[in-house]
Amino acid sequence: MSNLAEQIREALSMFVRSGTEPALIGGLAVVAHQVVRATKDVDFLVEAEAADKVHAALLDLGYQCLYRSEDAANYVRATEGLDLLYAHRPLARRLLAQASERETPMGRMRIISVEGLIGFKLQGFVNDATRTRDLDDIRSLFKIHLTSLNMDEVREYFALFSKPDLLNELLG
Amino acid sequence: MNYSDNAESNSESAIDRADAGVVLAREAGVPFHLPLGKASGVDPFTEWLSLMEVVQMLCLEWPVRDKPMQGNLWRI
Repeated sequence: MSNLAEQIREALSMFVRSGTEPALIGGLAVVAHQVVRATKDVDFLVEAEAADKVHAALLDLGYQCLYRSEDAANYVRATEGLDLLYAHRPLARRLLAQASERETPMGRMRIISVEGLIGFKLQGFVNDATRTRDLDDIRSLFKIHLTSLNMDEVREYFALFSKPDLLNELLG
Repeated sequence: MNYSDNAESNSESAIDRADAGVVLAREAGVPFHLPLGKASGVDPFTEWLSLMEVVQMLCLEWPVRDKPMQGNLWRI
């Protein structure tokens, strides 16, 4: 198994030991939703109450904390990165609760819905407009999931960030 | 790489086996879309691990985050 797969497997085991059930978000969740692209982004949505426990567990695994706030944290370990978003608002808590479980080559993990993933990708882009990869991911997700998406939910995310025009552009 | 004397016929059969567009997209590093549904029998994570094996051979130093996440518009 590759180092990358081993890193994810190790993280999943750590979450189990910490008694928390995160959901996969970010580039790997894009892969999970059938858009396969090169990425080493290991991102999880974690319940905010587990933040301290997970932080300590990641330090035990040799990660260094680059940044940590009430919303997010970034960890690195040599050439490996791992990012966390904390679910403390009702919307994120709902998305975390509704994440679907799947068996993967790295172990069993929960994965955010396509709609929720689009919401998080939009949030990432709004926070950092240089992250055009997020827009590419949204376009790709639209391309293959459009007929099955809950568009009311998707529209809510674009309204939340005052970007209804961007939604039309991405759909166009 | 194919060193067969019969390269032309081999390449034709390769095209028969896989959609050329999908293969080209994958080899160019462009995201590719898998057939939807479990019935396809294709696991996206297995495909991703296979892709990353090649990517890591070609790109020995993958950029690692050196600055924290940007922005303060956290609404989800």
